[in-house]
Amino acid sequence: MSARLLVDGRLARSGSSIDVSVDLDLSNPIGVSGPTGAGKTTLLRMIAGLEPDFGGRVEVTLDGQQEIWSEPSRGNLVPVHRRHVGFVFQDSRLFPGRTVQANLDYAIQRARAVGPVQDVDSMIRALKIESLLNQPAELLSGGERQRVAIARTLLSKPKLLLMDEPMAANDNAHRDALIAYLSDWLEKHKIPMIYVSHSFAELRRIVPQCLVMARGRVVAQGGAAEVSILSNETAVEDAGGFFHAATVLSADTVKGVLTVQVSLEETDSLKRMAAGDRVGFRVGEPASDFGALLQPEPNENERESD
Amino acid sequence: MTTSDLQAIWLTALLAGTTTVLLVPLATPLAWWLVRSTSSARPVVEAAVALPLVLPPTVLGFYLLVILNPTAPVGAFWVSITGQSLTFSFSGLVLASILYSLPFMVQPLATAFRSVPQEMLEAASTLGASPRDELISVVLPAARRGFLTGSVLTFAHTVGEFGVVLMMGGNIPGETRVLSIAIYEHVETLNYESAHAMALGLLVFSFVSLWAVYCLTSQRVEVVRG
Repeated sequence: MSARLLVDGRLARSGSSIDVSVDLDLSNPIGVSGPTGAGKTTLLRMIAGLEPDFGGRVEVTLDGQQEIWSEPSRGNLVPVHRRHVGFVFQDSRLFPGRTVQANLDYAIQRARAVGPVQDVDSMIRALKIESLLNQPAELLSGGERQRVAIARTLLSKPKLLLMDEPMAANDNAHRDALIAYLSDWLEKHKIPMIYVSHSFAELRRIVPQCLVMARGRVVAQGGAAEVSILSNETAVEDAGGFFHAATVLSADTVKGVLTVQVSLEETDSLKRMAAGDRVGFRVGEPASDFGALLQPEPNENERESD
Repeated sequence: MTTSDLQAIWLTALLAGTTTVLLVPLATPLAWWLVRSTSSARPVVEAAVALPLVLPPTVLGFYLLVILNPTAPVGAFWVSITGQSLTFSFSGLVLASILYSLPFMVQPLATAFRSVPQEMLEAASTLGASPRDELISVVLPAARRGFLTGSVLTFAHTVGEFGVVLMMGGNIPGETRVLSIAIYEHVETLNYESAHAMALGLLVFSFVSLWAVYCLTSQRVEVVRG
């Protein structure tokens, strides 16, 4: 599966703005994490075409076919329903006043315009919603609603899957079953996915690569395991710089001083570093999951002058 | 009750039914446009639609008479294609009723359309629904109480029309003599017994209609089963 996604532009809102420039290889699922209000959901909405004020560029390449979904000067070029983006919303958004079956049928009927819809029964069983089919959507619990919303989205035959905290309301047992099913489904259907979650434990199980967002920007990008070590809400909020994951080449302790040699891709912030600069770093478990906050921490004098 | 009175009741029901049936497809896209449009023309159209709520019916009837009479361009054009005049005819009454009852259909529909959460439309679009599909598959089913309310109000309002009908249609038995005109005529001829019987019937009908509207707006939504 060859898939890329480029999102470049700014969405200004009263009190906040999203400013992203990412070129993502979607050959494998990508995770997005970060604190509340970081812009994770808005990033997904920009990709899906649900933000009409977004004046940036969204370009997607799926199976070698490139499509420009929006451009700075021309706005949204491809309407939402023609993007074939499956979006699992955080709040499920099942149609009220309709049964679970009617909600699933809504997706199936429209997906049939694209091609045959298969494995409906097995999906319903795997997501443990077979006993809910005749129940009105508004009477379901939060977890049940999310499972129905996942089924409805997967049945819509998406070309790109966007999932926004899709398992937050489910207990651990259901979450394990959902993750297992989703991983198998992605493997079978080869559909690229962007998965938003606060939980790095969840992300590590589903996605190999992660973005971390804070204050409307992407502040870290790397392997899910590495980024999860570097990131927590406080650190990212306070960072104002970029985290990079690194590979430890050697680590020696001489007279109580640990000297760690790491391999890092050269960046502008790295070039500015000099002996005596203070940098933040975290060492995970295993210790080879090493990461450094590359933007030097301000020294005491600078801190006072801020 | 005379044959002429029964004819007036039948004609009133026919006029109200025809107006309601024609207004549903006419008012639906208009209400949807008013809800969704960001055009600067929207307030103007909104005001024009609501005009019959504040305008004396005789004013609307007078202008319709001026515009649609056979010597005016629009009236003459109608005569040239149908061979009949719009003024003092049942067709003219239907047209006048459509205009006069427009806000009674458009406003409940617009309110119902506005109550459909934007989130549901977004969900539908990500499931492959085009804007037209969203309207048909999400908005219209969710707005069915708005349709019922608008239909009941339009029917009842048309039944009670007087000024517009009198100006546009006059008092031609079997053609334009509707219930309100018949009551007026009975009062003028001091036939209070017939006037009272018809007026009481209209009063009860109007009350029941409004009662139905309030029942409809407080009912729970039925669940659509797949």
